[in-house]
Amino acid sequence: MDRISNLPKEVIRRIVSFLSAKEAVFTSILSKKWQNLFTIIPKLQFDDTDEIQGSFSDFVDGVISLPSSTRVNKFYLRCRDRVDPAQYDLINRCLCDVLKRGILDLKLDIGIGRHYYLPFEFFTCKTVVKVELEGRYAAGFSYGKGFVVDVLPENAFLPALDTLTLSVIQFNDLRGCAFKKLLSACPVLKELTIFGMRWQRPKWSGKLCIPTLQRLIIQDFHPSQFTRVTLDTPSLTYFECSDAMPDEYSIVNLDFLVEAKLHLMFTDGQYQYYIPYDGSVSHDHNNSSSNNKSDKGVGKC
Amino acid sequence: MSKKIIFESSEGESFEVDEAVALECQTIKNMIEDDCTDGGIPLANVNSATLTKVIDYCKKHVEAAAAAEANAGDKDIYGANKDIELKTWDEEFVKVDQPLLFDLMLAANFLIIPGLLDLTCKTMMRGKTVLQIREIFHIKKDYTDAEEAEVRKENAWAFE
Repeated sequence: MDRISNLPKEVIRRIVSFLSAKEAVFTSILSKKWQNLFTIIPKLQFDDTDEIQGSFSDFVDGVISLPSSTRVNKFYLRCRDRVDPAQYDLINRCLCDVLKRGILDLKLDIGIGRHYYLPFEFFTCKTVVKVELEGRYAAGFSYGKGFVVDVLPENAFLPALDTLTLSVIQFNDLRGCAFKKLLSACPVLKELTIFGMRWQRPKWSGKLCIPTLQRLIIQDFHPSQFTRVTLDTPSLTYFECSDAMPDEYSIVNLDFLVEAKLHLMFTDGQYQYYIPYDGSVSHDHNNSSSNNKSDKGVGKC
Repeated sequence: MSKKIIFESSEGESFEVDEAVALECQTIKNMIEDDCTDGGIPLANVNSATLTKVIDYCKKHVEAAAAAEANAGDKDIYGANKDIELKTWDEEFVKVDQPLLFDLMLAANFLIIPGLLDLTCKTMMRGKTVLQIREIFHIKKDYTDAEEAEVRKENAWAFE
């Protein structure tokens, strides 16, 4: 007997309201009855460069008024113009709503004039697989602004997140290391891209330890302010780095590295100690006995 | 001594519970307010096994709410309640076979216990494939192959 299809519609909708967009698609092909009971939106997007888009607040009202069983696969928010901080609340309301709709792919591309903090709900989204946070330096706000991550909720957990891009982001370590907390909330992270990171009161230990990570792309990450950095990423196959370097790599675990592109810059102090007369750079200080795969200017191993 | 409410399962078995526990069910709450609970409440569509579980759930949540009230000042710096223990308990609670889970969901829907309804709905289909769901719930496919292919095509991104 097919008990489940005879359930009251509200119960079916409630069941669906707990599914990811992907799982909702699976249920929609169970039978016709299921398909007609809820909507799956493949892509929900607001783009302020699109003139026919209307106002952001109308868009948010529209999103919030969707039935709770409506599932959303991708959510892209693009605000190129500098967003008025008074609108941050609106962004967050929209985001909190979308995060409950089984979202898999989230992209925020926002011109930020002041610090923008993600809502706590972001850090506990069970379904999201891919996240791109692109803070943009709006005209006249060229530095020190952008996404800010300071305090994460204690139950921060992004169990499905496999690709994370952080661009123009600031970690403000008010209570312990927010960067470390974020990474440890992502148990299946495979790809991490960082373009432009700032640290406030950094408490980072300098240990980048992500056993699942396969691709790491860092630019303007500023690890040089940490004298010792550990790269414990045993699954990494691709590593791209354009940055100033720390004084020392204590441990480098890159056993599965296939390709690396390195554009290393020295800080003034480092020039006195490292003379790259043969075109290569030695990281060999006292106890760094790691493999040399990462030592070439641009290397393929 | 607190007032007792008597439930009667579909098999005719009686269950006596504290009023506070019965009040977890919105449907019963309305009946208590209307003062029509004397002589027990017959639940013709809830069997004893399900009713036992439902009462367990309500008891636990009443106790947890009382404990939370007692430690109201004990919120952590993040503003979150220390409800991890209750969540773990809930997770264990729904580790039952599909027919019982289904009965619990129906009972929660009928008795209006929002927490239990959410908990059972959440657990019902998560992490299962189309084939598994069809098999578990005996859902008959009413699409033709061509129609199913069309739905799959519309949602191609989900099958990548």
